[in-house]
Amino acid sequence: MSEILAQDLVRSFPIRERTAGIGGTIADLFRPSRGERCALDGVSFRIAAGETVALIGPNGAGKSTTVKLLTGILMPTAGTVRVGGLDPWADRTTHVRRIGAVFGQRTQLWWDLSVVEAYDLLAKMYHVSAIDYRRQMEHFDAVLGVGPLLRTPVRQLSLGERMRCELAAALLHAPPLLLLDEPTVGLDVAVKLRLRAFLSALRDEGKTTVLLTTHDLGEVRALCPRVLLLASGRLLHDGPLDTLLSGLGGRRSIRIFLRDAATDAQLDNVPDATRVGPAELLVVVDGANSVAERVRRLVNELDVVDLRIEEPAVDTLVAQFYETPR
Amino acid sequence: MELLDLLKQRLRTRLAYRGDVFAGFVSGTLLAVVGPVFITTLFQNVSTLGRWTAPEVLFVWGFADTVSGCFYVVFGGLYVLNRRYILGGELDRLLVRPVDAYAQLLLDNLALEELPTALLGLLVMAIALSWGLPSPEPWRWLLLPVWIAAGLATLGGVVTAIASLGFHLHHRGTAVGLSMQLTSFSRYPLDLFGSPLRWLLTVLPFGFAGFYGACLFLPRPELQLYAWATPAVGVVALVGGYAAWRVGLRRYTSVGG
Repeated sequence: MSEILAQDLVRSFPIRERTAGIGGTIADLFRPSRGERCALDGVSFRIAAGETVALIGPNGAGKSTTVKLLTGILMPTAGTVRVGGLDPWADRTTHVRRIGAVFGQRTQLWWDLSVVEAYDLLAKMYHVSAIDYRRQMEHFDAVLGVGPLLRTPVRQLSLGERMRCELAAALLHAPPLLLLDEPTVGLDVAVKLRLRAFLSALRDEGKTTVLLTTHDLGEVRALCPRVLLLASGRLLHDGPLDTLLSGLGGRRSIRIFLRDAATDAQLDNVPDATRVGPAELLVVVDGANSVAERVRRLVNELDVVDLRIEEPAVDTLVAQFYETPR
Repeated sequence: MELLDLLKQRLRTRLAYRGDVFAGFVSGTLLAVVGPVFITTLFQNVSTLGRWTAPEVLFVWGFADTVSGCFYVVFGGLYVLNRRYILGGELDRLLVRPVDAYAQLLLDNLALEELPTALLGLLVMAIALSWGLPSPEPWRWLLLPVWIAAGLATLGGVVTAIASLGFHLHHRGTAVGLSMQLTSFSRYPLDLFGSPLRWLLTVLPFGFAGFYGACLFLPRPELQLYAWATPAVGVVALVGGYAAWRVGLRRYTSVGG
């Protein structure tokens, strides 16, 4: 059974342009909003229980809107959403009991409480039994290191500490679905890796369905076998990251360092080569061709001291993809 | 059950800011004292106001003050609904928790520091009685808590509906403050004012959160019909206000991610 089912999902927002000046403000009071902006324009997908899926796309693609529709924060303009068989909007209070949500941009905890007070309160809200609560806290202390932070007021946590605490808070009631909206935004590499390790353990357990939005393709590669790509409110790709990238023409290049400066004659013998330094060449290999074959021939023909195979920066490729008009 | 836990937590949080609460107590009390002082000063110069005696005016004032004091304690969240929750997107946080978001909004903003205003209102009613207000039948006093609650529900419901307009209009939210200014009029016998204002306060119906509600305890047979309508008005207002909130929630747009 699908954990998440989205069918022809549409969500639009009214556009409110403001007129300058006090007169304009008064006039705006009596003027209806002009037009609508479609944040999601007919998106359909299914996610099976236990899957870990990344939702990627440029800013304003509709990623957060999708997450908010799945949490029940927003009501869809048209189309259907079902999460675990429930309508997130209509059955919200039941629905949110079986999800955990983390929004990287804002805290889900109480600003004025200490971390442990917030957890106590959440445990009561979600009816977590004392035994489960203690076991969960031991687990989170071991894997996320939240133990030393428990007495700290939430407002005094650093961003990295806070995100670890938020993740623990979202999972306190062991929800079958975890929704993460840019959970690693602004985090340093060490914290990112820690969260990544935590999420990959969660994925391997297979008990929690995870949907995460991110701009970090390294994260996607490490965590998510499946990627949904949104752009301008439409779903452009649904499948593995590699399929997406090879569809973009996965070109690789070989950087070659020669013993002596390359002669023009040598260069003529090597197709697709460009000289980048006196003794340095760059050879581009199309996605369809074998890099190994190419390397063997280059090493035979030239006096190669060293070589490096370079993958194109994935981010660059995806940026190209975003910008390609279609 | 969860609501009780939230309430306890809110009380603890507020009491942690003892300075705030204390300052609120003092300033609230000072503000609340202005009204009765004005009324007593006024009646040292005139014997009646329209057809109303000093103890009657004072009693109405005390009743309205109790109701609005309770309002500020319970419904303080409505003041910040627009700016913080709708435009600021704080509502997201409430909506992902398995407790009614409206209840969370109120509990998260419970304002203990307004409690003295409510208590002062009770004191003013007592003073009015000792000042020569003919005491009503004793059983009516049993209804006082109910009538205060009904007045509270009336204010709360109407202001909830007004605050919920923020979901549709996206304004910065002065409508709540503005409508609360209107309630200052219902602290006095309404027939002191011209009929447009009286009509507005009856329909809106802030009048029931003050004057009309208080009439149950005054020797005014001609106003008993209004007085007895108070609980019904309270229920209708609260149900209507909550319905307006639910409708507004459908239009909630959160903030960009």
